[in-house]
Amino acid sequence: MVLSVGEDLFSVLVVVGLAAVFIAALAHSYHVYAERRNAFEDFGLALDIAERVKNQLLTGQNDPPALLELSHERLENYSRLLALQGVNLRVEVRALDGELLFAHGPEFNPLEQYFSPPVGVSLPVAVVQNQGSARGCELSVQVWRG
Amino acid sequence: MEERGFGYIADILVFALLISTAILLLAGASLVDPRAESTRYAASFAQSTLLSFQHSTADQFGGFEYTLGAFGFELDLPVVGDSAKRQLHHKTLAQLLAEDALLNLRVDAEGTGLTFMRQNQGMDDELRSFLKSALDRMIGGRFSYRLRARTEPIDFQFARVYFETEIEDLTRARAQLCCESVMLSLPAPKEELIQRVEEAFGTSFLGLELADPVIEVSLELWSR
Repeated sequence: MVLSVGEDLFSVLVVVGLAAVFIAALAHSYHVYAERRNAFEDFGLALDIAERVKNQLLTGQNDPPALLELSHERLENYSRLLALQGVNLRVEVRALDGELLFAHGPEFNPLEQYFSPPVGVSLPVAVVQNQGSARGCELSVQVWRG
Repeated sequence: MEERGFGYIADILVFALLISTAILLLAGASLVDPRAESTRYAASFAQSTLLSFQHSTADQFGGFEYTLGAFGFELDLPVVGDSAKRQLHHKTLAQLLAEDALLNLRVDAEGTGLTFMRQNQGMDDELRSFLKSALDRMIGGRFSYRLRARTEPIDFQFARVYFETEIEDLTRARAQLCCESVMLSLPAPKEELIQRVEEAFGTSFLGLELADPVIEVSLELWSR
């Protein structure tokens, strides 16, 4: 076997360069794919949690779904259960003019959780007020891992 | 460059092509369908909107009122003052829609729409623009939408009586994501409904069988 320095070395460099570019492109594609898949999975999780909060956890015993009675008690245990699985939860209920009526759970800190951005879901709900009347509001559920 | 050098490059290109194809196949098979997730969210959003619709009162959206009139003319005379105004701030959006259905039934006689003198005709247009602004606030620009409310037509020998209204914002709509419905009771028993129709036609419908009057409200959400 004769190694001709110059042409063969150049061909090896081209091959190694091509392989390096391919591996870099592959790694980047996988990263994008994994990020996208995680975002969809987290969105699905946030939607499941929002529906559970809306239909069970914040709904009074005799009230229909989406008619909320704001209380921290039932959310407390559920938040702890999620925290054991590494999922952080923040629930907010805002009036349609943006006034914050209820908040539960820690606020997302963008510096601490830089690599696990939060996923949020908002649903329209009604909140029970005095004398049986209800107020149109927005339930917002934020979920992030950490 | 020797032939062997070209051979290496061709080998690595074929290898890269094979690996890329395999990865694309695997990724395509396991990727979560984004359309399925957005459809699920839209369905949940539409259900919540319809439920919230049944509990939220008009006063949260600035209150609802209209002036009694007939044939498109309002009773806006100094003698009448504010007595011709109906203020319905305490009613829920769903109750307003049901009341509008009861007060503004349409009558079709052999394919021709008949117009009767209806004191509450003004409610129809006012309510449509009121509900549109309420829906705009509830949906908040996330989706385009179409809200439909209609009753089952009641067939008489020579005419059919029904109610139908539509409120929509489909200016930037691309694809329909979901359609959710609820059934609401009309705020009147069927006997009263028959009586209203008898008054409109000026004739009696003795022995007419009528199911309990309900109004179907459906909400379509469209992606933008």
